Amino acid sequence: MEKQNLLDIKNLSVEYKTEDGIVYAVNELNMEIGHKETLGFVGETGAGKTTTAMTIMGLLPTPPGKVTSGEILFDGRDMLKISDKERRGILGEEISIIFQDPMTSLNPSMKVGDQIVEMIRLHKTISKKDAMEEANKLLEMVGIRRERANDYPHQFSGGMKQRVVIAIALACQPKLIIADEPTTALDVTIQAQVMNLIKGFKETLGTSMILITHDLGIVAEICDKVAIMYAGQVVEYADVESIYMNPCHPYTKGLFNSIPKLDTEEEWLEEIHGLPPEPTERIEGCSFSPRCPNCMKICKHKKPGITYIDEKHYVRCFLYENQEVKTDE
Amino acid sequence: MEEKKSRSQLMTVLKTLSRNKMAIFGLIILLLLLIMGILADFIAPYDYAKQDLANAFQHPNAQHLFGTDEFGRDIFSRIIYGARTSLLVGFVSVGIAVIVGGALGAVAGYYGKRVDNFIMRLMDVLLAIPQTLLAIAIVAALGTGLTNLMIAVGISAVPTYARIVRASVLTIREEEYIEAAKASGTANIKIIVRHILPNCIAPVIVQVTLGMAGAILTAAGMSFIGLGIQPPNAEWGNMLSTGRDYIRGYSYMTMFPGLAIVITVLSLNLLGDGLRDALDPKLRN
Amino acid sequence: MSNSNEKLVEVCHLKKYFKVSKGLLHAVDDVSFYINRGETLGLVGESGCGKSTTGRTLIRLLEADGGEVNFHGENVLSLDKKQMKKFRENVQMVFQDPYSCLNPRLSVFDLIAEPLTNMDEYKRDKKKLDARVRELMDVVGLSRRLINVYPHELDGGRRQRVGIARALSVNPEFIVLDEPVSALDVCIQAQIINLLKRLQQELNLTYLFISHDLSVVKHISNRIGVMYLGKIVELSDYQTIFAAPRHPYTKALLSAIPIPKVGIDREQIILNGDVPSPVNLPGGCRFAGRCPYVTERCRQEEPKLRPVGEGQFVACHLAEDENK
Repeated sequence: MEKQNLLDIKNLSVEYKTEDGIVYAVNELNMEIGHKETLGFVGETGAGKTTTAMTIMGLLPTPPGKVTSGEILFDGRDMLKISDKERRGILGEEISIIFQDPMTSLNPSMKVGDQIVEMIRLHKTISKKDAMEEANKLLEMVGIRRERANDYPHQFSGGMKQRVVIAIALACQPKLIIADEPTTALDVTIQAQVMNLIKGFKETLGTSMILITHDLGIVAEICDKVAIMYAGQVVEYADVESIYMNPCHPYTKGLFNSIPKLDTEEEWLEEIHGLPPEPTERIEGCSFSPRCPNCMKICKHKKPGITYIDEKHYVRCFLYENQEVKTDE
Repeated sequence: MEEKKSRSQLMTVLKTLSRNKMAIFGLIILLLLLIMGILADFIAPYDYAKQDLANAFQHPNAQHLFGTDEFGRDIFSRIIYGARTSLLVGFVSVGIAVIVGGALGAVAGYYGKRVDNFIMRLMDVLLAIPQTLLAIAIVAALGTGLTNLMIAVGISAVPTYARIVRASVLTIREEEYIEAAKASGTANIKIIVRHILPNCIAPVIVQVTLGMAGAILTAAGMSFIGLGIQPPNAEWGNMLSTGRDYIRGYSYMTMFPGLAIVITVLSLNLLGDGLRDALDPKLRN
Repeated sequence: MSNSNEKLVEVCHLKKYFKVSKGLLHAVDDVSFYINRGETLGLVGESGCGKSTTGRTLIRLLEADGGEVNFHGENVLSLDKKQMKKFRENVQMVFQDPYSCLNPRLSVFDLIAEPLTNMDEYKRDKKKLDARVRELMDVVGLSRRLINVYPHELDGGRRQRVGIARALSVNPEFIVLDEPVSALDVCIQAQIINLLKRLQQELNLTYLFISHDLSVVKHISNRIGVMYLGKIVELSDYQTIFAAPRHPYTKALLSAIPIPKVGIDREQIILNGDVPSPVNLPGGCRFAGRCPYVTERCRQEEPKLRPVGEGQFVACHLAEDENK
């Protein structure tokens, strides 16, 4: 593939130093996002999803955090090597973030309109009046009446606040939006509204997005690609269709099976036995091997490399190492 | 099967505290003062009350490290014995305040409504009177002396602790584990003692260290104006008071007890600040 | 599942209001349902719909403002202190957030032992208590080596196991489960759901399962009640509610759940606006403001929960009209 990706992460490893020892938060992570693509970033608590997002933006607190290897190429620039000044120019303007909790990501003592204006004027030199006009347009775009620009965050409901946060994120028409569990704090019907909104601007603005979530349903609805994370590593990476039709990694399979289904009857849910590894322990071999139902001898003492199932679908598992392409199981 | 050893919260707190150099400095000074107070009989070179008029008004010298006062009493020995008095006043009066105030605050916070209203309005009335003034009034009613001084300083600090405990009880009362305890049929008093009080101990510990400094200051102040501990008993406040008359010629008579008070209060405050940081789970890591 | 037709819990016209500065908050407003012995009733709804308040009022963690709760045919709301103690041994609760429902200063042993130490039987006999706690740890799948650790050293799944062990300790007949898995990761969630189901079968427990997650509720419940703003708007067995929902809110709720499959084509009903505040509600149907099928009658007259089919109850004028 000659086409340059918007974001290319190669061999990224991040660790934290804590009192209990070193936490290996991200281990040799590889992934890429093309222009106008949405990547679903799925994994359990502590799998390293948020750490990865923070590292991409250079917001990883150091110390205790530390990037030990790898590079993050955003539009050809290595985010790990650029200066703070350059990074500030990129953040907000080219990459912006939507946080999980809309209640805490807005300044409670500032009118929402002013918060959007501030964001716009930080990156563009335009008059206050023009910025206000733009802010109003943004609010309308996310489905909030322009009069409400003069209201304070506490006058909005949770769903409306998240719309405001989205408006702020869109303010400078970024190339990439990182959304960290944007709807987890919302109710189902409100979640549907917000997801619909995100789907809409994705199409109209052509923004790329990393959607961090634990909800495989949401991923199916709006993502183009999926990265399944386990213990700081992407264990499977593929197109949405490919991963939902043909999940390969035993962890991905387990994840799918442990969700209660709406359309089928089942007496028992399939469990993945045991717990994710303690982040401070380093497992020899595959990090999923202690819980894996298909664990083999080799898994216990060798780390699996990347095996391509097809062009856009890779998995880190020995089961597929010697078979070139395996279509179904 | 081997039972997993647990890291107790106390150890975590101590570990965090040990990283704060100022707090450790305060703790060491405080421990030294404590040892000094307890072992005063063995450390002090002279009897604190023994008069020796021939050697009155001696500037600091080899025999009398801190000099002697107007009756020839050794100031160094009196400072050492004074540590005993001051720390005793600090501990006991704060103890009284914590027990009385804590109980009142816990009851007010847990039961709420009318009980809360009654107790807290009473505390508001006490708070409206300046602490020192209140202590003076109590001593005036009870008479002077060590015990009465401790009671007076203790009572005057009760509202502070009642407020702190009530505030933390109010937050903890809303925690889900309190509801869980109720749901499993636990009696109210057991809930207070077992679930609520242990969880609001952190702000109290901090206030105790800082409050002890305040109590020592109040007691010294009371003795200074003649309502506390009377000479010949050794107390830093009354030493300051007598030294005041001779401050022009014999400034060391006020300097040493003054320094003693400053060092004690400072070390308590340093320790208190350190504890506050160590006990706050949000600041940890 | 071995559910008989014996009504273990019967709730009639339960009401719970909260006084707030702006007026009266109708948290639970005239809610009625029953739960048979050995079955699970799921209660779903969005935040603020009153599902948790219903659960808490039911076991008298909150005092009701009206109505009756019959347990074994006896009105729980009028029990005196002594009878309440007995009732608490029969009815337990598992809480939502395993991070806040365990006292951080107590060890796993103390936490599980707490409900037991309120019983005379265990108060004196330390050995018996110890044996019971260890037995309970086995039942819920907690390794015995964890007996002395504190909650902050456990992950969410294990904490919830401690919560369940606590609830089971007194051998209750009925357990209110208030969002027991919503704070957990999917894989751990599956473990806990399976555990709850297994325990129900082994111990013949009756559950009231409160959750906002329809797929979880569907998996564990026999019958499901959907709540909206303090009212039950639809109540029926779990198959019917998914196959043929009648209330417009139920339909919207079902269509809003993201389904983890690709290539499915379905029509999503996106509701407008937010859930209105439950303070000082206007007359008429509470869903009228967001309902796509609203009529004039809905704004005037409040629909009652009425049977529309075999075991299916709906509070909607339209569903009633269709039936006629």
